[in-house]
This record gives sequence, structure tokens and C-alpha cells, in this order.
Amino acid sequence: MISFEGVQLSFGSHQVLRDVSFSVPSGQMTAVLGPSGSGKSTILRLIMGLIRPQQGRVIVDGEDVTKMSERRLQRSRRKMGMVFQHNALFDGLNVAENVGFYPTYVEKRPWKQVLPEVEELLEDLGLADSAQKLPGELSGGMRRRVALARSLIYRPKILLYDEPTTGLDPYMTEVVAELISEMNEKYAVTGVMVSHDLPTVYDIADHVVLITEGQATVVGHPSELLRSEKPEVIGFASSWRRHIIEYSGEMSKEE
Amino acid sequence: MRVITSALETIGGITILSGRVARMMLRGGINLRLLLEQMVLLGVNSIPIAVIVLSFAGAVFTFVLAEELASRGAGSLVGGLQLLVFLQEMIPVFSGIVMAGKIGAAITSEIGTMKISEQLDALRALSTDPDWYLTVPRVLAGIIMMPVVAVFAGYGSWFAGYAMAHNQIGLRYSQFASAVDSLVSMHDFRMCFVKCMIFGATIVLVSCHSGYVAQGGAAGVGKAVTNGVVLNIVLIFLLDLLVTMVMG
Repeated sequence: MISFEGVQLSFGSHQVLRDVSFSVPSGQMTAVLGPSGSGKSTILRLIMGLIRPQQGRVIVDGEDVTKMSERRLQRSRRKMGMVFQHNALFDGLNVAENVGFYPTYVEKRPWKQVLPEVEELLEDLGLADSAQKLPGELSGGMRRRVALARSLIYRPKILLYDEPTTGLDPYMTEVVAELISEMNEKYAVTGVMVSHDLPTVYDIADHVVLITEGQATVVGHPSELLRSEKPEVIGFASSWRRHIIEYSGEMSKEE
Repeated sequence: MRVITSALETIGGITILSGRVARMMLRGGINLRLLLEQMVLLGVNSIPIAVIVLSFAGAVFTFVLAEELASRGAGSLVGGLQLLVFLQEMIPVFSGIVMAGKIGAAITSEIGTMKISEQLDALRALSTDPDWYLTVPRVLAGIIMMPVVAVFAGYGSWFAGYAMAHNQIGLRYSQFASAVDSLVSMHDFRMCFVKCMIFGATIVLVSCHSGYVAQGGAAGVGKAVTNGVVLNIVLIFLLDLLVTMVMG
């Protein structure tokens, strides 16, 4: 459904992506991992067509989004949803209006028709009591759920998550991770999640791609993060692997 | 060299934005609900401050002029002269400066904040053109509402001028207004409205552009607001000169 073919991208003199090629399997959750500044979020922006690479192709659902006009991109984006790292909720609109933005302004449906769908989705995500609140009045976890609802309402085929658990407390991280898993399954979407939160990736991803030094390494199943002998995987996941091994040791001692 | 490059970039950016907005308006890409919201925010909410500023300006103008004219036996010209000067210059320029400070700054800070908090990217991700959602309704509201604001501000300046003339040299209303027919023509009203519409569009376009190019967090937004307001004030005087020369 999504593939990168020899993508190169620089911002000024800084080359972010050198020669990135990988595919995202349809109907699964793919996690894009990498250290800070490695170009993970850039991958999502390329898929959305928010930026264009200097070289290479990004194929989304059979179409090369790097060559499309803004007008065609607008149509192409209708099959994608994106949850931004800092949620990017519209400050001036309340929760219900944020969630109902797409049906109201893009599909141009009357609010009376949109409202029941918004209310149903807010109920699903545990936000029924917050419909009239402004984004500034919500906690971090609630804002993340509103951002997810805003994308889910138009049933996209592809959902992109930029650091969905960053900045959340451990409990809320678990709640949001579970919610993502649940929603992906319920709405049968292809998910791409950018993260450096290895436990969450391990829990909810089906497939892992690691970006280091501007290049992509397909790791495969998340369990490979623990087993892989690839030097870049060992380098990136070493502290987490050590933590898991120590924790397993302590658990077996206690038993 | 950097200043020239930056100025050319700004002029180019505003020109391109104007072209995109004009094309979108001609294609009928206008959402009435968004337009009405902006007409209230940009226009209706600006009327009180514009009336206050222009009332003071009208009072000061008459204060300076009334005794001087009365001492030469031309006190009855005060109202007509005031209206002539205010229609041609003071109402559009002062309303423009008020709008640049109040509305221009608000637009730049809103769009600049939306840019640095990824809300503009979120709009595009939701298949929505930021020009359609943000710029077009604001520009159209600016064009429509700036003359409306000017009408109220004009009345404020007129009555403040009369109050001052009455208090200072004891003119009755009929005396104050007696020279209007001979000094003021429909052309002066037309010029006032044309200037107001041009300033309205310019203020909003410059302010939107300043917001779109904001970068670097809160400090960057602050800098964009300052740049936008300064550029707007300079452009108001420049365009005022050009329109006066063309229509004068």
C-alpha cells in the first residue's frame, strides 16, 4: 500500500534521508523507529505529501504522491489520516468541532447530520463529556484521543501517527497504545507509527523499520528488536534490550 | 543585500498569495459561514475602537481649525473642510492604521501560532487548503467591512468635530454643515470607499502572509507580528499616495 523507492531529502545542506527504500504491508501497523533527528517524522510528511523529496518516489495506494499537484494531493489525502506529535488541534474550535471538521468543511455536510457521528466517536473514545471543551482545557491524553477521533471520523484507509505516546505518563501511554491497536483493528486501517518508545512498538506494531544515518533497515517483526544481530538494531535498541534481560532475570529470581 | 533579498521575498510572497486568493475567489471558493464569522471578528468588533480614534481626530482637527477660520470670518467652512479632509485622507488612513494594529496583529499571531503548532499542516492533512479556510474569508471580510468601519468612524469624527466647533466658536449644526454641499462631492465619498477596500485587502493579505512565514516558536511569531504591522502601516501611506494620485 505504501512504498518508498530511493528517497533522498535534504533541508539546506543537511541530508536527512540518503537513500530510503522500504514497503509498508497493507492492513498492518508498521513502526518507524530511529534516534531523534533521524528523519522519522519526515517519513510521515512525505507519505502525506506535505513535503516533497529531492529524489525518489513515494507510492501511496498505487499513486506517486511526490509528483502530484496540490489539488490532486488534496484528493489523495482523503484516504489518509494523521495524528500529529503535538496533536495540532484547532485552538479556536471545541472538541466536537475539531472532530467534525472533515465532514463539515471537506464533505460539506450539515452539522445536524455530522453531530451524531461525532458524538458516537467521542463516546467510543471516552470523550463524551468533553464535546464542548476547547483543546486548551484538556489533558495530554485527552488531546491525543481527540486528534485520533478527528482522523477516524472519515474512515481513512491509512493512519499515520507521529510519536503518539510521547509526553504521556506511563498509564496514559498504555491507554493510548491500546486505543490505537483497538481502532486499527476496528476500522481495518494500514497504520504507520513513528516512535522511539520501544515498549509501545513492541506491543502494537506488526512490522518495524529502523532509520539510522538517513537509511532504512527493515527489521521485520518487533521481536527482532530483541534478537536481531544487525549492528544498527543492536546499537539503537541496546539499552532497552539490556533492561528487558535484567527485568526477565529479576522476574525469574522472584519466581 | 540581505535586506533587499528579504524585501523582494516578502513582496513576491504577498503577490503570489494575492494571486492564489483572487483565483480562489473567482472560482467561488468561499464558505459563507467562515466569511460571516470573519466579518464579525474583523469588522463589527473593530467599530468601537475606530469610532473612538476618529472621534478624537475629528475633535482635534476642528480644535486647530475652528478659531483660525472663525477669526477670518469663515467659521461656517469648518464642517465642510473637515468632511473633505476626513473623507479623502483621515478616515481611510486612520481606520487603516487602527485595523492594522488591531486586526492585522491578531491575524498574524493566529496564523503564525497555527504554523508553529502544526495546525496548518493538520489543515492540509485534512484535505483543506489553508488559503480557502483562513485567507479567503479574511480578505473578503476585510474588503467588505473596512468601508463599514469607516462609515461609523466617519460619523464619530463628524459629530466630535461638530461638538468641538459648537463648544469653541458656538456654531449651530446648520452652520457647521452649511459648506458641505459646496466643498464635498460624491467623488470624495467614492475615493474614501475605494481606499478603504484597498487598505482592507492589503492589511489582511500582508498579515496572513506574515503569519504563514513565521518560524522559530513564540519569539518568531512576535517578530512576524511586528513585521506585519510595520509593513502594513508603510503600505497604507504608500497606497494612499498612489490612489490619491490616480483618483485625485
